[in-house]
Amino acid sequence: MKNNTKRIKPALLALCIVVFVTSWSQAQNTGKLTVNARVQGSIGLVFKDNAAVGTNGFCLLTNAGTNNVGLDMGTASFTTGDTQSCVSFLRALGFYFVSSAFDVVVTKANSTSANYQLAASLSTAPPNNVFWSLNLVTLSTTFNTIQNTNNYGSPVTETLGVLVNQNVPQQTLFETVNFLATAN
Amino acid sequence: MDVSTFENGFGIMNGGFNFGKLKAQLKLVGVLCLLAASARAQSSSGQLSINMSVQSSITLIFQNNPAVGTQGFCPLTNAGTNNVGLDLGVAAHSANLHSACVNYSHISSSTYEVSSAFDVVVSKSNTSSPSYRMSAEISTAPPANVAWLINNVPLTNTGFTQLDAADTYGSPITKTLQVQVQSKVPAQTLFETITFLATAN
Repeated sequence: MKNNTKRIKPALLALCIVVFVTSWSQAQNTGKLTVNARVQGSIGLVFKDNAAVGTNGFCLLTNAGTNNVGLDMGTASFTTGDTQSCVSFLRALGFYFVSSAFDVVVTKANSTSANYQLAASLSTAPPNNVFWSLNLVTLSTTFNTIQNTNNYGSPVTETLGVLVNQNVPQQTLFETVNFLATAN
Repeated sequence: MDVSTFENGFGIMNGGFNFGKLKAQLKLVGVLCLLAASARAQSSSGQLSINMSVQSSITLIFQNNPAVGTQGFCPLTNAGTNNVGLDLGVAAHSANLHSACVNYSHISSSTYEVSSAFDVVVSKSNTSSPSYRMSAEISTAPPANVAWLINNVPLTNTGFTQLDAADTYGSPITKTLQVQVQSKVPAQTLFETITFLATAN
């Protein structure tokens, strides 16, 4: 019996040590959090009034400085021209051409892209014998490339024009031109 | 390792699936997908909304008649515009004195008439109007016993007098300007401005 007691005491001591070590090691437990984040390159497009805004050929944009602007080209007559002095008006061969220019600025962020290409399209097909153009590039309802390697951050002046045949009925023309800048 | 196992992602090694290799290859595919996603074209778009009204209009110009220079067809100055001049020269009741390009006639024993013809062209733009009407008016009342006429229609300075009801756009319409002078009118120079008005029907 004494011998048994002598054996039990060290065993109990050893058990206490194990319990202590176990509880101590739980207090020291570690964790690992693995994080990943991806920085996405992006570009932004805004329309701005040209520095010459208000002079002939440079009408004021509404909501300038955003990517959703408006342009009022007034009332045009084959005989008397346009009611707005800011609209450029040319007449020849049974057509007249009215135009106004503005700036497009595309900026980049977190991108190594060297430059960008700019394309434009019409939202709806125009009436017969009405032709919308950007820098004399005729627009359609599919995107047409206007420029291939524009510089970021620099205003690029774009001239929106509409060619109207004199046989087009009197009406108000509404059009939305979509611009698409794509990083090269 | 079997070479075919490396080349074939689902190859078998030692008679069973090599899950470790499969896992590594799936990770590689995942990384490639991420790279492809980040390499896609960056783009940005904008919208420009435009409105413009197309206004209908008609224009009127005076032209020389093809017979210009012959009797009855004096040349216009500034022909081809809407602001022209016509010199009818010097005429007298006696001795049939008149310019070579005018028609000269005595319409009564006391009145002579000098006339010259020219063309008027009216064109239309952005309108469905099928025809136009034309009228004319003199700017100032003529001296007593002097009358101005177009195609035998007397003109006044009190309002437009209609000359035609339905002329065709784009076609030259020949108009003859006449001035009738009685013999008792004092010698003088007659100046007159005639305003033509074309109105779309």
